Amino acid sequence: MSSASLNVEIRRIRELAPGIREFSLSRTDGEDFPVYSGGSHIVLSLPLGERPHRNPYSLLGDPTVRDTWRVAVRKQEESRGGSRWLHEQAREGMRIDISAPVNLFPLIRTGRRHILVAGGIGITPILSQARELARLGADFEVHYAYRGPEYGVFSDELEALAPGRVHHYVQSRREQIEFGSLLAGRPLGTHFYICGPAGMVAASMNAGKSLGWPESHLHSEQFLAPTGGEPFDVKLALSGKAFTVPSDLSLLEAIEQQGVDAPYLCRGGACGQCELEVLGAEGELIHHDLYLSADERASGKKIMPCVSRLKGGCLTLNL
Amino acid sequence: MSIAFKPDETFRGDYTYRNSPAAIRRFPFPFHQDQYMYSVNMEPHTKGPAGSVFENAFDIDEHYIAEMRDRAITLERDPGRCVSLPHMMDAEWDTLELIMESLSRDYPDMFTLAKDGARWSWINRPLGIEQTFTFGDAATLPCPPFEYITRQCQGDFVIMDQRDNDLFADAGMITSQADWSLMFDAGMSFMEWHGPVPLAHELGVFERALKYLLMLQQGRPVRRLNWTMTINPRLDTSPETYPEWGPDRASVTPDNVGDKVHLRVELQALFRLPRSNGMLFSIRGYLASMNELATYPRWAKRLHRVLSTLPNELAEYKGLVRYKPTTLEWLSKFDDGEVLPAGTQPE
Amino acid sequence: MSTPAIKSQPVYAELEWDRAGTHHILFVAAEDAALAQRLLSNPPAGTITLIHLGSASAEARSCWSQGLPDSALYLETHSLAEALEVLRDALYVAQMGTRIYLAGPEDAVWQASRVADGFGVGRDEVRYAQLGSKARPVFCVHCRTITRGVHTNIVSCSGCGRSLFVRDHFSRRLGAYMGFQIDAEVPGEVPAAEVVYP
Repeated sequence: MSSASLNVEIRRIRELAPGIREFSLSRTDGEDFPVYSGGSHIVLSLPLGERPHRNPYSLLGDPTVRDTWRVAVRKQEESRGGSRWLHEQAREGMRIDISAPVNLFPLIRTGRRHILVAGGIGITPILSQARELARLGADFEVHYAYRGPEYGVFSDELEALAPGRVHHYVQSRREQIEFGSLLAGRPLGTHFYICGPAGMVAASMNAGKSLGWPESHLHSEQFLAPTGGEPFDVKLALSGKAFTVPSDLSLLEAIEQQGVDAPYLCRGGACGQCELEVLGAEGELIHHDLYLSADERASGKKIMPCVSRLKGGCLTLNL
Repeated sequence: MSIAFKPDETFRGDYTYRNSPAAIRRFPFPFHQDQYMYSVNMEPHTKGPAGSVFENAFDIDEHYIAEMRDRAITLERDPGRCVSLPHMMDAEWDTLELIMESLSRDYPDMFTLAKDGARWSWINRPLGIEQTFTFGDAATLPCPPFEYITRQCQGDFVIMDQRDNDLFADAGMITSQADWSLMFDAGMSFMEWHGPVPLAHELGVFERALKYLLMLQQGRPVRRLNWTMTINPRLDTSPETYPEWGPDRASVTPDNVGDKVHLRVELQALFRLPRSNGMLFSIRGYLASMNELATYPRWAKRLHRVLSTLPNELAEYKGLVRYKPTTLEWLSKFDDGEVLPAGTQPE
Repeated sequence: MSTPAIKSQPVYAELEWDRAGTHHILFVAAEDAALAQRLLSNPPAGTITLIHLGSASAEARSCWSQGLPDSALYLETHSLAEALEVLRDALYVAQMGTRIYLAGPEDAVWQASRVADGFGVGRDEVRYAQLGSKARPVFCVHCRTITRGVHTNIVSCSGCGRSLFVRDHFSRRLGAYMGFQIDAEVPGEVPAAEVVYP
């Protein structure tokens, strides 16, 4: 599913701490950015090699500032991907494409109290959530853990938003969040939100569960898996076309690129309009749709090309 | 292009509502085929052909002024047709912003929005409204923001709050509904709210629709059509006032079918809201009498076939049972059995 | 447990302790000796608060007051209003980790549910059980009065007097089933009411 994209210019790069940079972005068409809700992220398309590399980053600024969006990026040493490009190649004045905001980490507006926890660069969605809660006049507190004093990169912004309600945990001083005590004795209607390293998230979820917190009150940030996948070959039996679906195109998009008219409606795997008959599949059908029943999937005779793919060799379709 | 409004037509009492030939031609006839069944018939709500009901995000037509007056009458009689639970204030402002920006962009001769920071000035020429207010400060409007803007936009509206992988109908302005009660349904989950709809649950329609909508993105609204039938061109066919309009269903005779029986089509659109992460559900209704529809024989033939094959559960749910035979008899005059190619076009 | 005709209609499972919880508030508005014995003889870890709605006249001791585990606090009440007030007090001091069990006729269960909603409690923190009378609370969609204790499929509204058909469509927010005038299309055409909610 190709997302509506915006072209932006990198206006300003700020070194916040060793290995952490903040990027300020503005639209190249001079228009305002849309408003977004606390916890939203955007996807940056970064020009690595032949095809753009897509990385999600949380929006951390003030959503009422419509001419600039801010994201903060930590350099992931072990990855060959986007964060490295942003730290080593990106320059002020460069232009890239970004997606519209998506929120998979929203605040629960029926909640009565909110506990926000950030570990390291996980502060970015927490910052926008804190800003939203402050604006709403909600009852909330922030717990912010980082490696050393120099890594508490948004401490001042947080303090300004929630004076007296921000708690710092500096790892180099052997300070650590004890989730058992943080989550104990909280009144009904409290919601917990965390973004941080996987181990920290897991520890907090385990502590919550052992204290009896229900799932509906425990929230952690997760990003959508990329919609692309491995390349695979396709033969269209009726039109006689044969081609390869690259990793960054959906099967439906690749069929359309061949000039073949295929039906579609929602392009999100829900409506069933684009269903195609599978004549042969050398490999495993990877179904991502919400439409086909378990029996239909098991039959191996149907695929929804807007979201689903083949893992392995060649897919033959009755089209 | 300006619209020739029909400000004096009525949707109650003497029922003077009529469609102009141009309004009939753009009527969103919903039947592609000779049979009807529920499906997840959603598609991107992108700009449609000029003059069509799909041209703009929110369609304004010749009935605008009259429909807004009818809404005001209904609200005067029953303020409970507009409900908003306390956590929906951001979504209310989202809705006001979306509708004001859309209308002023799509109908600049009728609506003007000027912004000076949070200080907004709104002009609605057809209704003669000028209002300066502070965005985000409800005290600067004569009524809450959602009620304020939906008193000025055709169609019913529900705002859904997204949480726990579900959508809750937590706010609404509902004065022209197909027999469902906002006062009763407010606060319901997606499945509860659609609970009374027959057959569709078994087909998995709502399950798929919900999953699809949970992923709906900002700036990428979707739409679908739904339909029912109404006796007389009445907007307020609510459960609340059923004793007022229920007897009309028993009033249909072979002589008055053409005037009394109306096809009622809802253009439903869903928009992700930016501040609240909620979802606006607009339900824009269109009414056409059998006489008006039959000016295009293709539509009369199609409707005849759809009604004659409609499953009983659906006829029951849509409240057609009492007058369906009379209507079918009337429509049969138009149906020569010609094979109709797929599509909703009038000719 | 049957599948409801309308998805908004509550489905009640056999009441069990949710042992993931660390505190338990049990609100019971009906006698059910077998259930009481089954639950209380095998209590979960953590504290239990049992709020019991008894009859106004002092009768024999409730089955719910017998065989209580040591961890349980038993609170006897004599009217629904009093029971709801005691529930409100208990929720006011309750902590995350609490599970709430609401058992009794639907009217009491869903009035108690509204109290819990006011505390921001999620749907996965509450268990519901229908005990005792199957009578329904019915919301008149015309005059907005709730008629309580309805045993029949058609009932005269206690607010406006209309003959209401009792639908299966249920609102948790109102704690009631929808009722609408059955003879709206042909006034006077009212079938005989039958007892269907004993």
